Amino acid sequence: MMNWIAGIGRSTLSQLSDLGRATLILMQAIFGRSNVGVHWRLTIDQIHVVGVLSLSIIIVSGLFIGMVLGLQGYTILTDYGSEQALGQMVALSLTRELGPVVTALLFAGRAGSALTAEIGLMKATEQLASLEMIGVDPLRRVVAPRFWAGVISLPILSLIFVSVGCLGGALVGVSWLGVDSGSFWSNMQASVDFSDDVFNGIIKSLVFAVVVTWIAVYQGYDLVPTSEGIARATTKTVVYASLAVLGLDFFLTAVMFGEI
Amino acid sequence: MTNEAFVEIKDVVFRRDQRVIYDGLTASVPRGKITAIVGPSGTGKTTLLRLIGGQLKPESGDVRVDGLSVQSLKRSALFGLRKRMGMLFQSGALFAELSVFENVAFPLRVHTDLDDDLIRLVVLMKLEAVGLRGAVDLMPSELSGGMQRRVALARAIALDPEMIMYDEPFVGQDPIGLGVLLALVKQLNQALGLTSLVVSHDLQETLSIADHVIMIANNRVAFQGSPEVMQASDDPLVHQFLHGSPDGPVRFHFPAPSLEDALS
Ligand SMILES: Nc1ncnc2c1ncn2[C@@H]1O[C@H](COP(=O)(O)OP(=O)(O)OP(=O)(O)O)[C@@H](O)[C@H]1O
Ligand SMILES: [Mg+2]
Repeated sequence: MMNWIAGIGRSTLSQLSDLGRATLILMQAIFGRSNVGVHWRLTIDQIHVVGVLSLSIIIVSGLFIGMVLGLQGYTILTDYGSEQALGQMVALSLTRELGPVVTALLFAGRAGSALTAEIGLMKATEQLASLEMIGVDPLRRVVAPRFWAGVISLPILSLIFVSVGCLGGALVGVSWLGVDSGSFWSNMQASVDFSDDVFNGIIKSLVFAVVVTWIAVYQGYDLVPTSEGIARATTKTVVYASLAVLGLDFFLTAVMFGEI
Repeated sequence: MTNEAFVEIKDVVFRRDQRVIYDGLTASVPRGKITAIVGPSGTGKTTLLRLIGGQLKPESGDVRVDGLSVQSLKRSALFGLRKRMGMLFQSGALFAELSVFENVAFPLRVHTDLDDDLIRLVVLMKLEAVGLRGAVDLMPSELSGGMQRRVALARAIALDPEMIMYDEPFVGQDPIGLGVLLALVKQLNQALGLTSLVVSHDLQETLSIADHVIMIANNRVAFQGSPEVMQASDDPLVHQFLHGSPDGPVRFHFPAPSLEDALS
């Protein structure tokens, strides 16, 4: 029994110290002297790596999720004879929930794990140590551009996901199942509110972006520099990031749409 | 040439988890000389270089580089000090996404305002010195291990540092490469008055160019002095190490309970 309690204490302490270290790393990466010109260029490069290269998976998934929504929505809505509300249903589910959440989950798997592995490998091959010895702070040079790239890319990817999803919904609903194209789009336009829906969706996605990228770069920077350590850290990135996204989503939804 | 020490290490205690690596290490590295750091594998030679570079902090004791106490320097002062040191890592540690040229140019781009023509000139000169000017446009993944280490050396001397630390520079070099590197270390030291620290297992070669030797064994400095004195020493520890005998006061085995206890 005592052991059990001591175990809980120990693991709580180690979680807390992890959180502390992660915060410290993030703060040092974001704040502090930097060469804006160089770091901006590095950030652009990283936006290419984490953002542009994630485009294909985001577009394909967005299209399919939109199509599934169109299909499922249609079968439910026809029961009530209100299939012209399909546009509204597809657009609202995507902007409020599926867009930010699914994009963040895909991003964690596609870009987050890659970030962790890349930084981890740089640590294992002493590239981070040699940056330090050259007098360059790896937190600013390696971690910060990747962090910003993630924070900038994910909300944009999420908007793309939503747009493609709406097209997917229209493809199935309008072109295939024969919902009237005019009512599909005008219903969507009338019901989606910019500040309530689109803006809240962007906020959500921004929060997910910070959390997912933070977890990814921290796991990479802090891992045990062996091949096993890298494997464990990439797994942790995907697991922690996904759980964090789902948990935060509930919280944010409650605050934004809960009317409590 | 002054007699003063460039690096002074005093009573350093350092631990990895529970395991003691140094238990009161005191040593000094003379300015403008070549100092060899030798000792059995796993005894903490790389660790010593990292303490000097401020990447690790001692539990107690003092590490001074050119009069500055490394472990108590602020981050920015530490990074400033590091511009004056070059370090060659055991694994080479080239930046994988940059070409050979950009790797060597990296410290110049970060720390100087030289224009591209000058940078090109310096990079080619440094690569010429390590015999790899022809590899300037290759990527690190296209080089052999020995070549990577030579490029890393060119990068380490790009900024003309005051001190350079070599961690196993001779590993993976053929006899010619080894000869070239030995001559280069010596020449850098003589021409530029570079304080040089060489960690190496190629004992005879290293001792042939060293002015000073620090031998680390059993968590402390086992010997410190000139190579001649070391060769002549009848200290059993030094003798065992120089002649590579398995039995003697130097522990070859990683700390463990005795074999009988472990097997019973
Ligand atoms: N990151 C680490 N975490 C825990 N222990 C470590 C770590 N790095 C090194 N050690 C331990 O510290 C000791 C000294 O390591 P160090 O790398 O300084 O040895 P070395 O003298 O350079 O050996 P070699 O000649 O094989 O390179 C070793 O026993 C090693 O087990
Ligand atoms: Mg070593």
